Amino acid sequence: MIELAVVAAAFMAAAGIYGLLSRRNLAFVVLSLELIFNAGILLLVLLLPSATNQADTVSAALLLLAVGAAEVAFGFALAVVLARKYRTSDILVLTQLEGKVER
Amino acid sequence: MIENVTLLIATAGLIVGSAYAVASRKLFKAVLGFAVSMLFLGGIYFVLNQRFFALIHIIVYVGGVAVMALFAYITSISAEEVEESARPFNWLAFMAAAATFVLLLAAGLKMLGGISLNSYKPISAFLVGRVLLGSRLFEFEVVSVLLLVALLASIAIAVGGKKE
Repeated sequence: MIELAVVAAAFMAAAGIYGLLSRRNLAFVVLSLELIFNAGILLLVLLLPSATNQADTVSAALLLLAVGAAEVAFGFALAVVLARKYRTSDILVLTQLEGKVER
Repeated sequence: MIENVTLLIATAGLIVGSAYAVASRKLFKAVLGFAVSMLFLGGIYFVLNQRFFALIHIIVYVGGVAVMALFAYITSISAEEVEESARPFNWLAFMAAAATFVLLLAAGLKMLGGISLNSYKPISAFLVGRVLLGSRLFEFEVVSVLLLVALLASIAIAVGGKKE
């Protein structure tokens, strides 16, 4: 029955990959990245019984959780400002701004 | 028995939530789907006997990330910017996602080997705290600095964008 959790992790990573490749809005891209990130953390926790020091592994997973939170906070701050300044969060449009942004 | 049923429900909820988060064109609905999937992911951690980790996960992702995403984005920009226009189905992205699913499933099932639900022993907050403030103190401090920098950078970006 534990295989269900692996299915969940694989689906979450696949959904994240699909979102990452098909969406163009920066906010959706950040959400998709978080799905992939959490699939990785779930797989790490799933492999706990084979770890030599389980508390160490859970601590590593907790630190990864904090890194994910920092990433999403920065990503959304960037998305909000870009949307406010250029009236779009389309990553393809934002890519074309290279060299044209006022400093 | 009850663990199996809970795991089944949590997995189903997580799959529906993540599919909704990725398929939805409106950010509000996508974030709601994300929050639901994270809530059910916390349920999976709970079934795996990692209660402390499940609690922290739900607090950070459902209480923090999802709420922040909703408030920060939806209250600061207009509705048309948080909604993507309809585009044809992206087959290339779908193929990449399907390949990821198959590869990750095969690798995950192989690595699990003889692990069952009974193999997961609860790791208390005390044990985690002892590791974080002991052998992993340096990593703990690095992540603390990272969070502080992310916080300050987010404030700086948001305030800078507002002035312009």
